Amino acid sequence: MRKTILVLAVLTALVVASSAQAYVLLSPKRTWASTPVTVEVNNTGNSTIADGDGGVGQTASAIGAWSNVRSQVTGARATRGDGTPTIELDANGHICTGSCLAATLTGYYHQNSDGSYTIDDADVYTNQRYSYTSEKEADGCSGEFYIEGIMVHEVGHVIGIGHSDVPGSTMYPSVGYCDNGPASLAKDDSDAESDLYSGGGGPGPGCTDADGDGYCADVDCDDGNPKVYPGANDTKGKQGRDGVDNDCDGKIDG
Amino acid sequence: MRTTATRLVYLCLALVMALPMAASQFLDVPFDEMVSGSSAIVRGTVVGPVTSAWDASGEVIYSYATVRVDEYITGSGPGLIRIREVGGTVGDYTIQAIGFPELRSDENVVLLLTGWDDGPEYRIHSYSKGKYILRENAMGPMLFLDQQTQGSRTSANAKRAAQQPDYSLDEFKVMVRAIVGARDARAEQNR
Repeated sequence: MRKTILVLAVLTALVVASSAQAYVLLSPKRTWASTPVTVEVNNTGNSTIADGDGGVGQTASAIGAWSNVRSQVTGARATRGDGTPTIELDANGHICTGSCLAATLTGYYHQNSDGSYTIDDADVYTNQRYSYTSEKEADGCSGEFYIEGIMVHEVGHVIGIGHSDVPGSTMYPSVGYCDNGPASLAKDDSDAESDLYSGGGGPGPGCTDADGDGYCADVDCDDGNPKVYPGANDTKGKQGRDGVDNDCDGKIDG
Repeated sequence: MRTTATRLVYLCLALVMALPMAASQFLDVPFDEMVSGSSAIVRGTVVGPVTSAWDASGEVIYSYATVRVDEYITGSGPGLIRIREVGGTVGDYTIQAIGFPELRSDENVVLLLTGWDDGPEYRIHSYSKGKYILRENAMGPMLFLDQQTQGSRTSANAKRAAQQPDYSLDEFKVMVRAIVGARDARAEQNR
């Protein structure tokens, strides 16, 4: 019995501890063509934020935490493909619903002749289902999400950064009520930004991914084949019976 | 003895489930709420190609996948179902909704599903937390929460993560059915 408890406790602790790594860049790695990136904040604020302008000013100020970003308040709405990254505080874009607080649509990227990728557009949408607040609200926070922290995180995606496993970093994936910690960049976040915009080069810390399948060469048993990676289908269908160890488990078609 | 050990297993599993999962600014919904909020939970395989298309407004690209359902763990329905998710590529344009799930051909999956307001297709409930990859290992069929969400790149721990299942299929089914049973019992009491 005691042995069972000990084993379970160790296993649980291992799972918890295994999550801390470093920043992760979006796949494929991509940047804006020029900096600073001007991110527009639509001037229709969020109706749940009672700070005078629905969080618009606070958002515009907060996202300047990224050194390669400047903000601009505008009356223009997010338009996909227009080349202007725009934050909508009062619209879910028909995509950020249910348990989604805010979502970044980043697409419209193209590959350059040297193999690198350039972002052409990205927009941020907010779910109206939840209540938000800002540091400027007089009544503090109760059961709400800080808009500053949320938007600094989303703009991290806008400029090409994915989620980090470092607790306390801006790009850590989850956020709780009344937690504005993400509004301040941690070293991990700054490192990610520097990797993208200071000639850091490479697909990420200690990772090369030649075939672009999302798995680094140190775990991808064939980094020249995008259909081969840990966890790929290797048992069923055409790919599963192709005479290749698609899932890198050492067994062909199994 | 066995009952106590079993409870400890479920307690540890619950602790693991409470850890924040990789998702882009999502509310951390407890597992029992995810299950209760799903219209169906299915085990099946993505068949055929995953296709993408602009919506009628020309503003959003959605991807469409067909899943052959081998088992309805909860709910009921046809043997082939259609799932729509935000994101995809049409011509030169790619839209990625960061942290949103994506389906790939030939994947063996367990999906928590809900409906769309504007169409007949299903969507994956609770975004990336509603999709598990089903794989067999030495201990039998295992479920792995899919970490390959849109825009994601796995890190050097990918191999280890791919080898660490979240649950066995049997454990998952027991937990889900217990949650649904409790929910139905509460509903009956409240009548």
